[in-house]
Amino acid sequence: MAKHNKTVHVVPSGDGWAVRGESGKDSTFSTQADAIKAASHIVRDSVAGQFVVLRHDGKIVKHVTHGLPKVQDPPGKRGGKKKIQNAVGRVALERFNADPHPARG
Amino acid sequence: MPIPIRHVAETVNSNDVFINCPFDYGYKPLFDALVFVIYDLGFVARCAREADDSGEVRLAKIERIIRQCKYGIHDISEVTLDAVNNLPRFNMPLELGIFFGCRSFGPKAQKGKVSLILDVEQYRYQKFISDIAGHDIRAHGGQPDQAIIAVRNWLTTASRRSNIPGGTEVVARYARFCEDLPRLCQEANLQPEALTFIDFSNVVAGWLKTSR
Repeated sequence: MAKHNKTVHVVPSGDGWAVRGESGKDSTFSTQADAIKAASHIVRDSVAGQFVVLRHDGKIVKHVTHGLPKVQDPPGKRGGKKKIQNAVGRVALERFNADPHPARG
Repeated sequence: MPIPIRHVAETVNSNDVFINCPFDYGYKPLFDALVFVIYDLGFVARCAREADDSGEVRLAKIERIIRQCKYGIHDISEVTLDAVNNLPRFNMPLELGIFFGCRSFGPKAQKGKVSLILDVEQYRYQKFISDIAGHDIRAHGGQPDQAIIAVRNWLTTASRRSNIPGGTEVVARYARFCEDLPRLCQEANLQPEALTFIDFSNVVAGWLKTSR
């Protein structure tokens, strides 16, 4: 059975940043840099994973993979791409905030 | 500033996969699955639909995209008689021929092109396009999941990349994506049934970055 949670999310939380990995438990950090460092460790310790940093508006500001292919950007103009990917990011944020212990699969 | 002809002829992107398939509504479940698996494996899906608004002549556009793609997926499953005119649909074999011709007669950079031919049954092609025997031909039985696995297995071998996820993992992820698609479209103010190829590709890429 394939694992379904390969993404570690780094999202704004209060005055700081929250990191949630496969375990579903959150860790919070006062700076984005520290949160990214923690997410990076979690992903590097996994066989295959990725972390994504989302802003309040859903914008994907960083996406790093480890043992997984990097997701390429589609061809075409940047404007539409940003609008759609921000919307997708907002849905991911919505899920993150709605479900404290996600179990997907 | 115009790009020198030599430069254009030798630009082949090792991440780009040309999809040669029908664009009608009946084929959409297979088409969406092909686009998804291509992005999930770290490649870029390209097709004639990527620049619908340009004034470029259709065949010239197809030739340009083929020239830029290292990989080609050619689905000949719908090379059937048209219900209205009772004539066969030749666009897919035509584009398959252009892809093969580009590899055979193009400059050195084009020689590394690789193709996967998909059909509904494994040996049906022998009845109408037998000259392609010896190429990589796989059957999908009209099933998106089978198409995903065929593309995954072929791209893994053809690209020799080691970080490609397993077929069943991609299939499971695609099922989750399909469940999420209506909500993603709602948030992006798009109609799921009227998504353009580029919009759909962006939804897929965004979802894979946030939800794999």
